[in-house]
Amino acid sequence: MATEDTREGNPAHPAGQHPDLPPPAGTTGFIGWLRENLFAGPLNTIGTIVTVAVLYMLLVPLIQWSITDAVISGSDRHGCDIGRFAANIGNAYDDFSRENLALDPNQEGLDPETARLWAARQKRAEVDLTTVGSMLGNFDNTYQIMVREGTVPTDLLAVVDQVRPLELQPALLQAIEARDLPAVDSIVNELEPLIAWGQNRDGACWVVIKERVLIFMLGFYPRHEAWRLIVAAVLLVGAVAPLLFDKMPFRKPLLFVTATFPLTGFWFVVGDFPTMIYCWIAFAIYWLDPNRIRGPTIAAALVLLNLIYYFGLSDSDGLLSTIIGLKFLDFRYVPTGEWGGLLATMVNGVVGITASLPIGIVLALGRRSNMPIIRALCTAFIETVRGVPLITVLFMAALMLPLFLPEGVSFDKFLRALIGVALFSSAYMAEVVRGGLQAIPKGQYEAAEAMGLTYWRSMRLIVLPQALKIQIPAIVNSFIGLYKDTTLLSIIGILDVLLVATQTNTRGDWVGFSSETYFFAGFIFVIFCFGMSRYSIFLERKLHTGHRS
Amino acid sequence: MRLTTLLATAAAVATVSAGVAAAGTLDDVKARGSLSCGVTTGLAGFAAPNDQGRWEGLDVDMCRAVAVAIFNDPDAVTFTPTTGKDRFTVLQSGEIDMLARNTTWTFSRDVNLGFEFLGVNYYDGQGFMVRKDLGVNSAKELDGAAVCIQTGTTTELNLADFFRANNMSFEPVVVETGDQARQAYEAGRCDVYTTDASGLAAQRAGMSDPSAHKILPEIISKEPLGPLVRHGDHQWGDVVRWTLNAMITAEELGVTSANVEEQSANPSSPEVARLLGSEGDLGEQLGLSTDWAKNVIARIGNYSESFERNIGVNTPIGLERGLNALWRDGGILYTPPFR
Amino acid sequence: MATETLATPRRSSLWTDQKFRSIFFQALTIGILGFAIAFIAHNTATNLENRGIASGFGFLSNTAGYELENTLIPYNSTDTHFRAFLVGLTGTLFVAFFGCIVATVFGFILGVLRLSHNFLINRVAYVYVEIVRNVPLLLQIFVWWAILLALPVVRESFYLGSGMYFYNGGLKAPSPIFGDLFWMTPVALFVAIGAAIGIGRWAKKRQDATGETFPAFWTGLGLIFALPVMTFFATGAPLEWEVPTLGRFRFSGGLAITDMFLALLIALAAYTAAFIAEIVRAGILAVNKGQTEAAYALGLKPNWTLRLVVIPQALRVIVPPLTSQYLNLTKNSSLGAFIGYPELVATIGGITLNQTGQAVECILITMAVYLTISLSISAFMNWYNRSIALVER
Repeated sequence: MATEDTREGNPAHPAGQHPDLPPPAGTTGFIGWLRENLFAGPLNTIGTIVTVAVLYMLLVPLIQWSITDAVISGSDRHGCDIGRFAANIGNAYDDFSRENLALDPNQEGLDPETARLWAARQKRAEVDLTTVGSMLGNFDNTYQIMVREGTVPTDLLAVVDQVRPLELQPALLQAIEARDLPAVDSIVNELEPLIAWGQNRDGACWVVIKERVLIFMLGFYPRHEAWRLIVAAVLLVGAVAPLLFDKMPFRKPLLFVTATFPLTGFWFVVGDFPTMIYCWIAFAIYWLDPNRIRGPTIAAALVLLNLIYYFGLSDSDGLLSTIIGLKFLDFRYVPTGEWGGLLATMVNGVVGITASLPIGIVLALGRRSNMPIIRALCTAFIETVRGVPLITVLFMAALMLPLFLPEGVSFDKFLRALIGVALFSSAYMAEVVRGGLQAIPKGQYEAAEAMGLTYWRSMRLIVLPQALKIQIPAIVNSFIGLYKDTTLLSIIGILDVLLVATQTNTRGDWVGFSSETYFFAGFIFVIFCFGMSRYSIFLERKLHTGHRS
Repeated sequence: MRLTTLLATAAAVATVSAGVAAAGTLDDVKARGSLSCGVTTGLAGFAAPNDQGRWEGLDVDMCRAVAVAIFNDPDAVTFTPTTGKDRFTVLQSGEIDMLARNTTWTFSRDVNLGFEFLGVNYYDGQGFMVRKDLGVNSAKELDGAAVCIQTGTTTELNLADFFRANNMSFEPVVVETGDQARQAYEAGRCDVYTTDASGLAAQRAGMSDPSAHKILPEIISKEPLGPLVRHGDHQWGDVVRWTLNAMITAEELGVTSANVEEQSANPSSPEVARLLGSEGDLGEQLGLSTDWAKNVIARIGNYSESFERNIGVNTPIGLERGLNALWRDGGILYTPPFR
Repeated sequence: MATETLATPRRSSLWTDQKFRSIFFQALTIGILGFAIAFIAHNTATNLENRGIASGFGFLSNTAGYELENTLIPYNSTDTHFRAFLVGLTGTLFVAFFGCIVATVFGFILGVLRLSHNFLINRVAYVYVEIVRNVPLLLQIFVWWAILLALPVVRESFYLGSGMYFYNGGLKAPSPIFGDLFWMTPVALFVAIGAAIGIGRWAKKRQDATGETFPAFWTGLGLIFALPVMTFFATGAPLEWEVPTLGRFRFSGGLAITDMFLALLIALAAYTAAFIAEIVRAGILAVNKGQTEAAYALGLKPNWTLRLVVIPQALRVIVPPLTSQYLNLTKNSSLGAFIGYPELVATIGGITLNQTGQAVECILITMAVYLTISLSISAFMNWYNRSIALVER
C-alpha cells in the first residue's frame, strides 16, 4: 500500500525529487483552452456570449441567402423570380395582421401619435393582404412564361400539379377584394406546398453571375481572343512570383519574365504587335544558351526590330512588314474600349503599381534633394496630390486632360485614367519611399560618397536597396489601396468590376439582382486584397526576425 | 512653333491609339478601319452588353448602322462607354467620331457646345412612377413627396422646374446611378421615381412586385434623343443623318431586312430603287458605296425592326411605339425624301 | 558637403562642378516646366475658344436650377451655383468632422478588442479589420445605404419619444425656434469655458507651487454645465420646438439627419476605424510593459497609470498615422456623391459641372478646397503632435 502511493505529501520523495504531476483538471486540453480563452472572467464570458450571438444572427441568414436557398440552375431570371414570388405569398400572408386591419385610426379620443401609428398599421395590413394576391399573380405570370419557354423545373411541376395555383388566383383576388379572411386563409392553406417550395429558393440568384461571369472577367474582350488574357495572367504570375519569394526554384529565368513582362503583358493584352513573340524567342535563346550571354543582345535586337516595325512599317502591307510584324499570326488589336471587368481592374492595378514605384522613387529622391527648386517642386506635387481625393484626379484625367492637348491629338480614355491613377499613387509611394530613405543611417550615405560613387550610383547600389527592403510591407499596403481605388474608375465610365455590376443591375433582363452582383464584386476584391495583405504580413514577420538575429 | 509640333508629335506617339481628327472624319474613319462611337455606360434597351458581352440597344444599332454604311460590317465599331460628365468632352476632343448616348437635343448643346444633332432616333419625355398604394393619380398631387433621381442629365432641372411651376415642393434624393435610384425607390425611401419614360417600364419590370407600381400619365419634358457629331464637318454629319433617315424611310417604304434583297432586285417604287442604290448614285454623293442603305437594312434592319428588337413590347423594356411611330401611324417620325 | 571641401581631380571642367550642375539642372527643370505650363495653357485656351466654352468663374453667380435635399444652409433651386458650392462645402466639412470623431472612438474600441485575451473577440475583431480593409469603400457605402434602406418606411417610423422619428429616410427631430434673448445662453457657455480654462491653469500653478490639488476638472465641468443652464432659465427659457409632422408623403418641419448622411458616416467611420484599430494596437503594444510596472511600483492607481503613463506614450506613436487617416477620411467623404449626400463632389464637382460644362473651373475649385482642408487638418494635427511630443531637455 505504502509503496504504491507516490502521490503528493508522500514523504517517500526526497526534497527536489518530487515527480512532475499532471496539471489540475480543467486547465489543459480543450476545456482548459476554453476556460482560458473564452471564459476567463465574468466580463470575458459576457463578451464571448454576445459575440457568438451576433455571429449567429449575421452568419445564419447569410449562409441561407448565399448557399442553402440560392438558385443556381437555369439561364434566365424567371427561375429566380418564381421562387421569390412563391415565397413572398407566404411572407406577405405571415406579415399580414388581422388585428391591425381592424384598427380604427379615426376613432374619437386617440392622441395624434397613436392615430398615426394605427393608420400606418392598418395601411400596412391592407398592403400585405393585397400583396398576397399580387404575388400569386406574379407567380402565375412567370410560370406561364416558363411553361412557354419550357424551363419549368421538374419539382415545381409536381407542386403545381398538386396545388393548381393558376386556378386559385381568381378566387384569391376575389376573397381579398371582399376582405373575406376565412376564404383567404383556406386558399393560402392550399398554396402551402408551393410556398414551402418557394422558401427554399428565395435566396441569392447566382444565375446572373453564372450567365455574366465572362463579362465580369473580360468585359467586351473578344471571346475567341480570351486565351491571350489567360497567357498574360500566367505570365503575370510567373513575373510576380520571383519578386515575392526569393528562394523559389527557377527564380533566375523567371526574373527574365519579370523584366520583359511590361512589354509582353502589354502586347498580349493589346495585341497587334509581334513583341511578345520576339520576347519569347529571346527568352528561349537565353534559356538554352549555356553561357547566358547572347540572350540580352538578341532580345535587344528583337526589340529594335519591333520599334522599326511599329514606327516604320505597321501601316504598310508589304512583305517586309508581314514578316517582321508576324502578321500571318493574326494577333488582332483589341482597343481599350473593349476591355472591362476584372481585366480593366487588373490592368489598372498592375500598371499603376509598376508605374507608381519608379515615379515615387524619383519624387522621393527629389524631395530629399539638395537642389531647392527640385525639392520644392517635388514637395508641392506630392502634397497637392495627397491633399485631394482620387475622384477629382480622375475627373481631371477624364475632363481636363483632353483640353491640355493640341487640337486634333487625343489620348485614349483608358490611358488617361491610367495616367491619373499612376500619378495619384506615385505621390503616396513617394512618401513611403521617403520613409525608407530617412530610416537609412547617415553613415551609409557618407560611406557611399566616400567610395567615390556618384549620386545615382550610390542611390542605386547602396541606399535604395536598403530603403525599399524595409518599406516592403508599406509598399504592399499602398498597392492594396491602389487596387481598391480602381473601383472609382467606374465614375468616369471605365468598365471595371463595379461598373459591370451596376450595368448588369440596370439591364432589362437582370434588373433587381444588385445584392448578388455587388456581393460578387466585393468577393473579387477581397480575394486579391486579402492575398496581398497576407503577403505583407508574411513579409513583415520575415523581415522582423531578420532584424533580430 | 516647331517645338510645339514636336511636343504634339511626342504626345501622339505616346498614345496607343491616338485619334487624329484631320479635315474629314469620314476619311479618318475609313483609314482607321473602324468607327469610334460613344454610348452610355449601360442603359437597358439603348446601350448595354448582353450576356455574351456584345453591345446591344437602339443607340448601339445607330452606331452599327453607320459602320455598316461605311464598311458593310456591323462589328467595325469601337464602343466607348461615356458618363453624363465626359460624353461631350470625348466628342469634342475627337476621341470618338459620333455620340449616340440618348442625349437630349437642346439649344445650348447644339449652339453653344458646338455640336450638330442629326435627327431623333427616340422621342422621349420625363415621367413618374409611384407605388399604387399611395393612391396618387397625377403628378400634380405630389406636393411634399420624396423623389429619386439619377444625376448627370437634364432630369434634375426638369423636375425642379415642374415642381416650381406648380408651386409644389419636393425632397430630392439625387444619386449617381440609375441602379441606386431604383433601389432607393423600391425600398420606399422615395415616393416617386423619375427618369425618362423609356426607362420607367424597364425598371418596373425588375421590381420585386411589378404590379405594385404605376406610371403616372404626365410627361413633364420633351426629350428628343438623337446622335450627334462635332460641328463643322458637314460630310460626316450627312453620313450619320442619312443613315438614320434611311432606316426610318425603309420602314415607311416597307423595306425590311427580310425583303431587302428582293426589293433591290425588283424595286416596288422609284424611291425604293433610289434608297437601295438600284437607281442613281445617292451613296456616292455621300462618299459611300451605292448600296450603303441596302447594307444597313440587310444587316441592322429598318427602324421598326431595331425598335422592336431592343425596346419593343416583346422585350423586357416593353415600350409601345407611341410618338415614335411613323407619321402616318399616328407618331411623329417623318423623314425628308430620298431624292 | 564633404566632396566640396576635397579638391577632387575630377573637378576639372565646368560640367563636373557640382554647383554648376545643380544650377543647370534646376534651370533646365524650370525651363521645361515653364514651357509645359505655357504649352498647356495655350492649348487649353485654344480648345476652350474653339469649343465655345467661356472660361472664368462668372457661372458661379448664375441660377443653379437644381434642388438638393436637407442642406445645412438654406438653399433652393433658384439660388446660385456659388450657394450650391457652399452647401457642398458645409456638407463635406460636416460629415468629415463627425466621421473623424466616430472613427476615432470606434477605432480605439476595436484596437483594444484586437488585444483582448478572449480568443473569440480577438479573432472576430481581426476578421472584421481584414474584411473591411480589403473591400473597396465605395462598395461598403452601397452596403450601408442598402441596410439603412431596409428600415421601416416613413409611415411606419419608429417613434423614439420627444418628437423624434427614425425611418429609412434617417432621423427626424424637432427643430429649435430661438427666442429673443437666446443669444445670452451661448455667450454664457463661452464665458464658462473661459472660466474653466482659467481655473484649470490656476489649479495647475497652485499644485506646482504648493502641491495642493484642486478638483479643477469637476469644477470646470460643473461651471460649463450650470452657467448656460442658469442663464437659459433666467432669460425666461426663450426656446421652442417645432415638432415634425407627417404629411401625405413625408415629414414636414423639424430637423433631419438623412439616411445618406448616416450611411456615409457609418461607412467612413467603420472603414477608417479598421485602420485606426491597427494603429492603436501598434501604439499600445509600443508602450513598454516596464512603464506600467514602474508606475504601479510608484503607487499610482491603475486608472492614473493609464491616464498619466500609458496613454501619453501610446499617443506619441498613434498621432502621426492617425493624422493621415483623418485626411483619408475627409478625402473619402467625396464618395458620398454616389449615394446623393450633398457634398463637394456632388454639387460643384457633380451637378453644377454637368449643367454648366465648366469642367476646368469646377474641378479646380473642388481640388483647391480639398487641398485647403487637408493642409488645415495636417497643420492642426502637427500642432497637436508637437504639444504632446516628448519634451527633450
